[in-house]
Amino acid sequence: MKDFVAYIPVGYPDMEVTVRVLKVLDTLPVKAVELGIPFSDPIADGPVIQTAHAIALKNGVTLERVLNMISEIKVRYGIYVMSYLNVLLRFPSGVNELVRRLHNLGVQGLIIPDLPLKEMDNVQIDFPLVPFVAPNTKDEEIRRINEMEAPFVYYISRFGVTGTRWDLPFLDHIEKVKKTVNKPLYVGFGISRPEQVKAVWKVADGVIVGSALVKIMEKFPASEIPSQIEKAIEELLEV
Amino acid sequence: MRRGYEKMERYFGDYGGQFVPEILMPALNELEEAYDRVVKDESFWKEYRSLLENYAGRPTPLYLAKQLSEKYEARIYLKREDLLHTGAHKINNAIGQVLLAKCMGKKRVIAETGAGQHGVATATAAALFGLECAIYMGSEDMERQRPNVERMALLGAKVVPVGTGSKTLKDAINEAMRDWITNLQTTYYVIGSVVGPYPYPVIVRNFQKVIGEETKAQVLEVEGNLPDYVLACVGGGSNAAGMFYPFIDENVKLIGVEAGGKGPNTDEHAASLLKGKIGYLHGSKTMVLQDQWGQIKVTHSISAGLDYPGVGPEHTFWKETGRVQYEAVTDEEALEAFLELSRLEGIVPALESAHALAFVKRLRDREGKTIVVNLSGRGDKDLESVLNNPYVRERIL
Repeated sequence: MKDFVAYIPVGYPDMEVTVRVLKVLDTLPVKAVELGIPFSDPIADGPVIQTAHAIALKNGVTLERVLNMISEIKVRYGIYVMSYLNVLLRFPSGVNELVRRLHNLGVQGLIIPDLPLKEMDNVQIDFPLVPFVAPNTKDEEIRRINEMEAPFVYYISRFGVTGTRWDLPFLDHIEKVKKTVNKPLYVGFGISRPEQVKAVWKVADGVIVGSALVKIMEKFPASEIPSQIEKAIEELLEV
Repeated sequence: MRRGYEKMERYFGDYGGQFVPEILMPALNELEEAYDRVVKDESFWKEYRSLLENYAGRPTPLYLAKQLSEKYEARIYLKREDLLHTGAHKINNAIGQVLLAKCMGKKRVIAETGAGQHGVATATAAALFGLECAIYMGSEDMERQRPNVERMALLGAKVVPVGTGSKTLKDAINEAMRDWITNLQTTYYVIGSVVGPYPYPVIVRNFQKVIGEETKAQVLEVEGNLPDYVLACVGGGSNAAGMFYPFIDENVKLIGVEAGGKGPNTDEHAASLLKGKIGYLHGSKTMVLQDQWGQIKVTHSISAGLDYPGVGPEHTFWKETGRVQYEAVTDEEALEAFLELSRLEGIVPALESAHALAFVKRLRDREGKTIVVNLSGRGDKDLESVLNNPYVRERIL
């Protein structure tokens, strides 16, 4: 099997559930986890993750609390922090201090949905950033990724915001991008079924699953969420 | 470090840029290329100017408000954008952008709206050019600007209520951006203010600068020289940008007036330039009202059109360089100016424009000066919320 990455919105439905989910994920063949930092205006996210952001904010989740949580949990998988730009650059003690702490915590990279390739030079974040590639990204832009120090490349597998969907278009393009980039290629946005995982693994290095997991958090009572997440991931990995 | 891009001319000083999801970048590039093309295309501008003149009603008058001038011992001119078709300056930009959308072969346009004026203007232009149209509007704004919701529906647009976040303009922009991300190939996003990612702040300002260009010529004709002061209200800042831009290199004091809500020192206002910090919102690096963790604040203003936590990046640049002075007036000051203009001049201004008017009273050295106030829109849409306001009821009912 290839890589599986889970997106977990921190603090949804509450901080305690997040910690329990993160521990369960450590018992599964999960390569990495993206910890979603809540933002008031998540423009790249669909309704499922928007709700998660809003509730996490109500629960008082801040970047500071997430950093403290990361320092307390002991897990084997890699950790990435996914956050909209404003939250990172407005970190109260400054972005350099944030970078220092991320580094000390062993976080492997930042995923910033509102920072496109073209603007990466115009923000001062001295930390590995994960570049996005979309089905409509130009070839020359994609080739430039090879000059960057990125832990992996995030392929957005649909036109639209985050959420689940049935089909999986753009497999040909994913295959082409895989041949172009010299870094692991992970595919996310809209992946919710084992067949999609299987199809992606044929052409790329891994899948990222977010909304499908968040939907489970929405549907089940807090006490059942960790076991339901475990079950869902096992099903997705049954390939 | 790793990134091989040079800084491009997509900024006003340090502000602006394109802080959007990667998937939007090709659409922004397409828009930039299309705009570059039409800028050089005389037939586009000929059609645009002809529509502004024969359809929208330009040029708008520059009216010397005699009673107001007498009261404040100054020569106060009103730039009558309120007399335009659909009742506000928003039509200047909507016609320009929808014409651009048509040139780009788009079949559908979407827009966000706060007060409803931009929504009505876009729905109007879409009807004129036969394009499908969806308008995103915060559910709170739909409540307080009901006549405009009805007008949009009448014009054939689909009004989509936005019930997330603060249920106002900011959330309507979020939702319009999500629609755009999903329907890029068919859809053109008509942004209504000088906000958003490049090239929008430039495009919208260029479609609005006709306000300042006309004003300049008109005031020169009647006064023989340029005004001492030019005032305009600032929410996202499109009427102010259009009014100020042609005066930027002139010796004229420019004042942008923000919504001070219940007071700029309370937590309930929308004075982004006065009380905000540099941040990233809706694709742009600019002044943003935010908390200590970088979360965008919920704003308050009696005027839906000014109720926005960000501001156009060019205004942030003008503030930083000191070229434009920014101030804020409260809900009550705006209401007072609203009533005063209605009673003294027989003109019912939009609550947005009433903010710019209200600052005349606070202008200390106004005596004998020539002052132009941009009357960006008319107040019909505000009657319900104004008449229900306790401050107003106390005074007139």
